[in-house]
Amino acid sequence: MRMESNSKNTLVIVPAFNEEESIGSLIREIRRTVPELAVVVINDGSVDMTAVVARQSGADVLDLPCNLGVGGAVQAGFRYAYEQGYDYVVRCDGDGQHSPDGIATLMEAMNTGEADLIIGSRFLGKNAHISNIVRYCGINVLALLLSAICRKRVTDPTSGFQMMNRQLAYFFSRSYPVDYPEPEALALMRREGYEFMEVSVPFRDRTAGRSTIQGWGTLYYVIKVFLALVVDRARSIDHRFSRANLEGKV
Amino acid sequence: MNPNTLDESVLYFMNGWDSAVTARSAFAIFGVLILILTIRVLWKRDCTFLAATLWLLVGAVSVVFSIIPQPIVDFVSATEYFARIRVIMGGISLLVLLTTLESIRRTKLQERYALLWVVTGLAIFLCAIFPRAVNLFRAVTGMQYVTAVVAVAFTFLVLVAFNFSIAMSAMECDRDKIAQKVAILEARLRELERKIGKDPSLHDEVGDKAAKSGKSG
Repeated sequence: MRMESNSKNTLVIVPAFNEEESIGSLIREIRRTVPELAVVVINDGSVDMTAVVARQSGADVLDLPCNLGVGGAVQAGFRYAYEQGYDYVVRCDGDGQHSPDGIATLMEAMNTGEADLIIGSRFLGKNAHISNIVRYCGINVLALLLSAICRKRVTDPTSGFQMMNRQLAYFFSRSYPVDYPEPEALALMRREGYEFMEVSVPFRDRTAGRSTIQGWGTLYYVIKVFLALVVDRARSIDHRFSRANLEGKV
Repeated sequence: MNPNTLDESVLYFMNGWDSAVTARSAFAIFGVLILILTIRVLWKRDCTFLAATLWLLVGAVSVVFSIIPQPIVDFVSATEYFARIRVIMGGISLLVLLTTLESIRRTKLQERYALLWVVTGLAIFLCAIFPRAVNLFRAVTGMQYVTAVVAVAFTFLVLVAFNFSIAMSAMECDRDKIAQKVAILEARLRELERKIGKDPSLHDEVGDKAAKSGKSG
């Protein structure tokens, strides 16, 4: 029997790297919009006061001793959620690009039980957000490729605003791509038989900090993600972590 | 002397060296000094076999070379280019092999990483001993002897580098797991301390915090 997502069994994870200026207000906002949910900030080896600010704002903190990159940080969150027995995980990036108002939308979609992963998309529906024409084109090309690989329409392949169930959190806690993980993770879970669904969520410009994808990083991003997507297809599927195998076990 | 096998500039230098008595004496004394020091260190047994051998070799060569330069020049010029290259290749391969084995002995290097180095050294060594094998390779590829040896060595060095990349990836994977586990355990420890009424912030690195705030503010 499926369990509804509620206050007791859902964890919000917020990966943050050098976000001391925006993390405090984001956590306060999350606690205001969804006061019943537990919030864990994963401090990815920041050199500023991110961990301290997060604790003062009332969140639990996973203080990683060194910088693992966003993939490693998020994975720590999945692992923590799984070990602590949570049934659902909401991931909300620490740069404040996504409004916590969207969490309710995610939970609603999750409770329909149609998917294991709900992605908060910036480009679905009316509130299409074009920040920069190059980036917009890049994301669209990536979205097309990923849609073809997943055999399902993806509009926002790089979204860091997602919700998943316990099974998928377990799978991701075992294997998750290292850097720029979102598109690859989507392709990986799809191969293991998991379902995803996109919902439209409100979006705003980042309040502080910088995007990790900038300058030469963009080129690296494109090459890395395309290489990973192609090479992953050539890998055999690890059925131990497939949806069918984990059903009712974790 | 055969001018075909010894370069003219070397000959010029050797003629000058023959008459430079002061420089030769200084060089000889320098070599003797090295020999004495090495033997003294060897006597006390506080250096490695490899280092001692190398230093003894350096000392002996400089002494012999400064005392009797002419016979050495004659001897070297009597050999072919090919033979000299083979000797040098053999020397390099022995150096690689000895360094690798010594590093394993001192447990500085794990055997699984040393394997490719040993193979590299052996490959160059075999090239030096059996030039006919290299000749076959040369006939197929059209390379010169030295180029062929370098190509073989280069191939193995690429393999060594690749081996390191794989090792590094595996290590990073392990590091990620350890870091995640540490962070989760720390969070649980804090929770536990909070429950038993102990102030977890006591364990915060106060100096760290001060440094961080100083940096950002």
